Amino acid sequence: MRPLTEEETKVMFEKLSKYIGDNIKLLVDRPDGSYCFRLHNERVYYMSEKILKLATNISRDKLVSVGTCFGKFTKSIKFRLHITALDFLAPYAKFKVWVKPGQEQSFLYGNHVLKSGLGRITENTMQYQGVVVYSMTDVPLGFGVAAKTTQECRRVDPMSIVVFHQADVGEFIRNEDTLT
Amino acid sequence: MQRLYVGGLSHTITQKDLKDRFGKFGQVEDVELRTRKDDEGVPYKTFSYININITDADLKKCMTVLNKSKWKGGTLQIETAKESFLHRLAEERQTAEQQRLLPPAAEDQKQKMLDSLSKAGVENFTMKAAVPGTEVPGHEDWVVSKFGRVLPVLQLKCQKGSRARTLKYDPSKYSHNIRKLDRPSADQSASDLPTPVSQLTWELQGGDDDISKKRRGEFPAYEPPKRKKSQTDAVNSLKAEGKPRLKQSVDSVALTEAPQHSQPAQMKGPPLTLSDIDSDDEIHRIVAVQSSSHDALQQEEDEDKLEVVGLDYLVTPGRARQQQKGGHGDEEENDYDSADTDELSDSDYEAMFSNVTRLEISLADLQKLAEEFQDTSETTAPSSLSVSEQETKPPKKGTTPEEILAALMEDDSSEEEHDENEEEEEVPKANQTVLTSKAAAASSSSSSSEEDEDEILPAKDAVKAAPPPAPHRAKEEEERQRKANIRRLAAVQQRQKETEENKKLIQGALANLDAPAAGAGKHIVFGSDDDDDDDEEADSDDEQQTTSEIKTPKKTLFQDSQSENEAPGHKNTTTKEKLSGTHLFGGSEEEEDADEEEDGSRFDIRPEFEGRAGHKLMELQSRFGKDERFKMDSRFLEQNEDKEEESEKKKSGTEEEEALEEERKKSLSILQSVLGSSQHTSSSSKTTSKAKTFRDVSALHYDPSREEHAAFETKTEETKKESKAARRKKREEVQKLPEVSKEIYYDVSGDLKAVFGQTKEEEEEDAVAEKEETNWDQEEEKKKEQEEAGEQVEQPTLESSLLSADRGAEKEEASGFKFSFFGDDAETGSGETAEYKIESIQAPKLSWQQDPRFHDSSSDEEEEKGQEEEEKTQSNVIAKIEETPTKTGLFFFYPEDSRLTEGPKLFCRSSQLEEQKEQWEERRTELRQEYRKKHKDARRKLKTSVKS
Repeated sequence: MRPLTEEETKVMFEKLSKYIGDNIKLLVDRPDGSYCFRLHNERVYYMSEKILKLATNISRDKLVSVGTCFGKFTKSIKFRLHITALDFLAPYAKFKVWVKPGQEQSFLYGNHVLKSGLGRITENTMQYQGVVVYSMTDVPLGFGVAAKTTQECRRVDPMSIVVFHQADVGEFIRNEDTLT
Repeated sequence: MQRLYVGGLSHTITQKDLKDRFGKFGQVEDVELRTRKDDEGVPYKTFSYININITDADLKKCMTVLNKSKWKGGTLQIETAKESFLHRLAEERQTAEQQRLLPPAAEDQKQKMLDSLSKAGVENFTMKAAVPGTEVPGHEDWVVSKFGRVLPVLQLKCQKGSRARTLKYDPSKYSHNIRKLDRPSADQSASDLPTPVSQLTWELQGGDDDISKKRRGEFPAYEPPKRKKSQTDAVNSLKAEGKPRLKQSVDSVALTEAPQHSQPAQMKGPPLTLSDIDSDDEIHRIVAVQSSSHDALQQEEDEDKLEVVGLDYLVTPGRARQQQKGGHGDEEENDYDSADTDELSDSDYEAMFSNVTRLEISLADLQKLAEEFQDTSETTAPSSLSVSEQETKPPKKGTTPEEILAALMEDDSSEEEHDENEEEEEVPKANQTVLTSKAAAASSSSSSSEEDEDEILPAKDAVKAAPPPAPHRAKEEEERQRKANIRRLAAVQQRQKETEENKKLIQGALANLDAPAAGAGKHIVFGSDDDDDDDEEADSDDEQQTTSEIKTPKKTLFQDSQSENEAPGHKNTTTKEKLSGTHLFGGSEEEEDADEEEDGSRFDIRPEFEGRAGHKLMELQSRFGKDERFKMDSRFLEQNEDKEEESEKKKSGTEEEEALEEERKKSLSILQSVLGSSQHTSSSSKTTSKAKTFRDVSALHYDPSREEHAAFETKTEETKKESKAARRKKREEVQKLPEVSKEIYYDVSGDLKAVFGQTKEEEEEDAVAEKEETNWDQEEEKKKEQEEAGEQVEQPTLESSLLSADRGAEKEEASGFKFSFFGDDAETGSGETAEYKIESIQAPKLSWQQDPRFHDSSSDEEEEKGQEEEEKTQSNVIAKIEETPTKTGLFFFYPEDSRLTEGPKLFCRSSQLEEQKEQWEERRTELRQEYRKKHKDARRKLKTSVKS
């Protein structure tokens, strides 16, 4: 477990900023204590200082997970967000998409969100903007990337993809063994 | 009347020829001669139409004789033609007229029959309260058929083989075959209306199954299964009874279901505007049909459903839950409300049931009829059954199917004596007896379900909404419902009482908990010592409280303490005496309270007085003596050793923290670079770090002794003030400089003299006065010039330039510049203006000399005193110039005065505005520089003078 290098931090922040914009700073310096990002097994964990201290007691090879896993770095040093980060993305998300109850399940099975299932969308969403997907009952379901702008969404036919799926809470079950 | 076509005529033939020719066969009424011509106007074809009154025989004759005969160089070709359009129109009109005249006779006949029928009790071809099969009295060929409709008995001729046979067709006998598809003819106005779409599509299949619904994203809202079943039961039972009933049941079902489901948004299509009362299933079906046929339409609707929210959209789970309950978007909630059953008014109800078949049959009528038909033959039985069915219809006015069913059952039971002998009735009755119990349950359940829907509108209303046909039945119903309602209310009251009681209990218990605020907890130990006391206290408790459940030993202990504190009665004193055995240190009650738990360990060495720190504490304690207020306990122990340890720990901790802090800063800087907003984040991080050492600003008090509070002191800006004072002083000093500019004074006076020398001697006195004034004026001006030296107060300089112009430009040179508003001309014109400038002083002098603005402009040390002011003054001067001639006549002016010719030129622009502007701009910069220089010089001079 080590702190992130500058490059890594940058890559990760760039990724995060697609979803929560400058709200990252709320994650970095929180008024309720100091929190930090740590790299462990190519994965980035977000944890409080207290947990960090506690985690020092555990040997590196035995430590599976600590704090909240935000995602992992690929071999080509790209950052991939995991669904576990949703807890921190959802409250700070700038752009949101709400799916209709009928499409909820489809999304939770890993499918893209179609226009027919789109219940509501934040205005001025740009194309390829990171969005957090909510159910109509405002339960965060996952996140993805807007395939169309808000304006396009109005015009497009019902079967076209509006949001590309990236992660959904269904992964907690589907990828139970790999999620940390 | 025949219309003939005659072709192959020669071009020379006239109408008269034709008339004569055909007149032999019949009376020619009209001849229409047509000639076709080609482009050059050469006729190539001639034909005619002839209207002729001719008999068929004559026509034949005519045809044989004339057809294909040669006449005047043409072969005639005769054919019968179609009637002329105009003719036909006229004819049609005529026939129409005739028909209009004719009908009265026919209608008379009809009316007669109607009258006679109505006399026999038939109205609009319906005979109310008549059993099918009864003959209409007075009309042997008319018979009452199903639904009370009067129909004629038909005599049908039947050709069977060689012999003809007449067949009598009695519609009443086939009445059970007749399906009534239309509304009853009783309400004609209603039948004119088209049947609502919802009713037409009632039996439409497809898209109704769950899967297709789900595919559409429509999930049926949760519905208690039992209720649904009862509804379907009602529907099924009613389905068997024919269309009108079905219709009604649909309505009623719709009524009950509407509030449960909020209607889907697609429902807003134009054909479904009446669908407020439609059932959910129906709507789904319609929607399915629509969506299948109009994909585009659906897309549109989808678009409408797509919601776009702002960035500041707040996520509210509470609202969402509500939505979920509705199963649809929030906009449908309005529909939900509007379709509420309980809010239905009477008028709504009536409107709904206006298109439902209803026979107004009084009980007496029914009885009579029943008795009549008790001993009729087998054939009449079905018809009577149908009557009984009709009878049951009217009371079916409840708003829910259960109610309808209940009403039905009641009716049946009340009519049992009338219908006893009908075998067909037996089976349904058996059903009904089974159903009655069900219905009773259903009705009760319906009322309860209403309550569940938090609309505590009693079922009474529903009954009220349905005007009962037979009052006593309704009464029964009402009675039952009222009873149910009373029972319900009683139950609710009881529950309320219970909750209140519970509340009281808890309150009482809590009140005792709250009262002994201080040191209450310590009495737990104390409790074991005095049981008798407990008992006594408990008695008093009983008086206070009605409960017995919450009275735990703990509670009584609390009360003990309370009573001890409140009223130190004899009981308490006894307990104290009891305790006084071990009571050595006890000074007061309070102390006793405080030290209760230490009773046993009173003589133990107190741990807090151990050690070096403890010794210190002990000393402190001894200083305070036994004063309870300053009791030293372990809290006051100094923790030096701990501190040391902690500091060690802290050192390592701080290192870590520093590292973390550094890391955070680093990450923040990276974040800045990523986001591109540098200032924002850094400041926020600072604020957060500050926030850790938060200080309440409102609680801040200024302490002059503290150094850091010096920041709060507002420093008076003395330096500035000084400068101001100095400036003022300077100004005063400057104003006190009177001795300068004597020369100019003389110059001007000399000038004046010269000027006045020209004028008449009478004016000399005036001139003297003027001199003085100009004197003074000049003096002042000079003064100003002196004091401001280089300041660009254009006014005085201008004046001076004007005044001194005739004597040369010495003044101008002195000031270093001359300003002329009119550019180059000013120089030339200034001479003239100077002349009359001085002269004109007399009349308006007061106005401008005492102009406060003028003084201000000179006294104030502002850089540019506005061009407009200067302009004003100048224009003032000019105005004066203009005025003077009219006023003084020949005093200042003489005929052919050059000034009069040149003066007006001053008003005209001599050069282009742009040029002037440019010039002005150039000059302005120069002037400004110059002014600054002079200003500086003047200051320096002043300084030196002050110093000296």
